[in-house]
Amino acid sequence: MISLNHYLVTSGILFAIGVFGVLTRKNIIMILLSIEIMLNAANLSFVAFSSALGDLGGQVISLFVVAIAASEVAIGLAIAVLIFRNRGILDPNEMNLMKW
Amino acid sequence: MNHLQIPLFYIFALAAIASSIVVVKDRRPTYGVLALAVTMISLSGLFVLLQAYFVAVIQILIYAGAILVLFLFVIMLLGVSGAEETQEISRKNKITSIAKMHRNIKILLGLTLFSELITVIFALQDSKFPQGNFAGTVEAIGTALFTNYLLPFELVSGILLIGIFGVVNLAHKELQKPL
Repeated sequence: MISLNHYLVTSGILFAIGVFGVLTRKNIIMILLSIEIMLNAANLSFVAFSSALGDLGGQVISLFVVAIAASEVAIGLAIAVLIFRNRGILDPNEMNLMKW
Repeated sequence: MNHLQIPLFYIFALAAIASSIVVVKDRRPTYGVLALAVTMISLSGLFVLLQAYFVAVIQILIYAGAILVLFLFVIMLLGVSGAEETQEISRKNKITSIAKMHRNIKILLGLTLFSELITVIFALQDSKFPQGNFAGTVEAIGTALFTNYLLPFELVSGILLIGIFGVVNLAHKELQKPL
């Protein structure tokens, strides 16, 4: 029988993969994609706890997470496009204009 | 339904994990976005298994339908060649041992976080899912949204509005001279 821990371990694996992606990728678009993976891992554990505890609050919170992820992606991609148009780079390591 | 739950869970969980590894490892951004679509769809399968039907549909509609299409638009706008990671080749000419060490440290950080999460999870009391008539239908979620969670719901609409303002403001910026 599938228990709560199965879902939580899946969510933990996904979150760790997302963290690894954020740390290793050198393209700002791929970093945003990895952040999406992390947000979805959090969503999965919210919904799993909601189903295990019989409380709808977790599912409602996961809807809020989806809405916030949408606005985050829109603004992040707009910033990425502006930086690429102005300076022609996508590597966050080279975005060092504010570093004295 | 009950006997199908175990194989379905493993199929969807393995598909989600495998496709998210593809997102992290593949150097072509278009493939990464398509693999993320597979992750979203398998996660929505897991949500259906958890009886969160409304969240599952919203997951497919908003992620696979809106967010990933936005990513694809931006990749096409920047040009696939521009969005690909070209640093790998030039980096190989430099000293690679430092880069390799950095990579190992990052893998170690990810594994540390994962083992910490696993320790916390197994410290919890494991619980079976209640076999009641509890389900996240549209009616139940809507009732919860408009009674107990009305204020956060309105605040989220405020966040979306601010997001629209920000994006429109950024999109109307004049192009500066290249630095």
